[in-house]
Amino acid sequence: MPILLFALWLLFHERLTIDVIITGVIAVALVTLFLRAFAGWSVQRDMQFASRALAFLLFVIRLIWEVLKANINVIGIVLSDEPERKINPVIVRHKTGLRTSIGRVALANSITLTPGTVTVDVGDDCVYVHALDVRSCEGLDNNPLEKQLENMERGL
Amino acid sequence: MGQFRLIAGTVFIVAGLFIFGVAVMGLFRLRYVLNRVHVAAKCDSLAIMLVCIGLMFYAGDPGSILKLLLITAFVWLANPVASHLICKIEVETNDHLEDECEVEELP
Repeated sequence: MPILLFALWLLFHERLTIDVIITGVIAVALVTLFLRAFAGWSVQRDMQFASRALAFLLFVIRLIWEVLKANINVIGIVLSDEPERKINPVIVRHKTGLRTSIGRVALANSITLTPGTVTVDVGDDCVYVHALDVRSCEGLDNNPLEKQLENMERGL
Repeated sequence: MGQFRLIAGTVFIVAGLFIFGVAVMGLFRLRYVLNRVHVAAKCDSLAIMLVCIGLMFYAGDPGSILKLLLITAFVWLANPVASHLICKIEVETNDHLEDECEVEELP
């Protein structure tokens, strides 16, 4: 995390001079101390997250693909004549096996970005989903993104 | 600037603008807020990604490319959260939700 923060600092400055480096090191140290005191940061947790970087990359690629499909779906609905007739909206409860809060947040965000579904609320072991059509709920039950998230969560 | 970069950037930006246009059209053609949110949540995220990819072709230097990537990442994180809050408020305050959609179970 400190390395990432320092890279971000250098990216915003776009030059590598001694004053930028010194102020950057001080600022990154302060932010890291703050994270350790209030957000439970530790080197071990960084290592756990880093070991899942490849899985996260695969997740992002899959997410982009799902967003593309979602957009083709939505554009089809919008450009059809009388879009309100074509849809049959429904709110459903979807149980999830994800335990950590960050996993559930990622799932809720990816459900919103996938075809025909928007997350309404997140509970302890479930998410409430508004779907444009009953058929798009069926895809929720074996969602490849959720499986990838479960794999990433294992042992965290 | 090379011919290829100019053409590729323009193609991506025009595609992004087309999707933005469809999103605006969808906002007016759909009637109910929970249906409108679908359009706003999905089209905006893809359109901002396409426009940023197009601008990456135009810019060309690594600093600008990384900054555009950061913009895309921020929108992809913030857009679902905002849509989700709109949905949550609508579901919690609308007493006649059943008129608009089937409700299997409420939060």
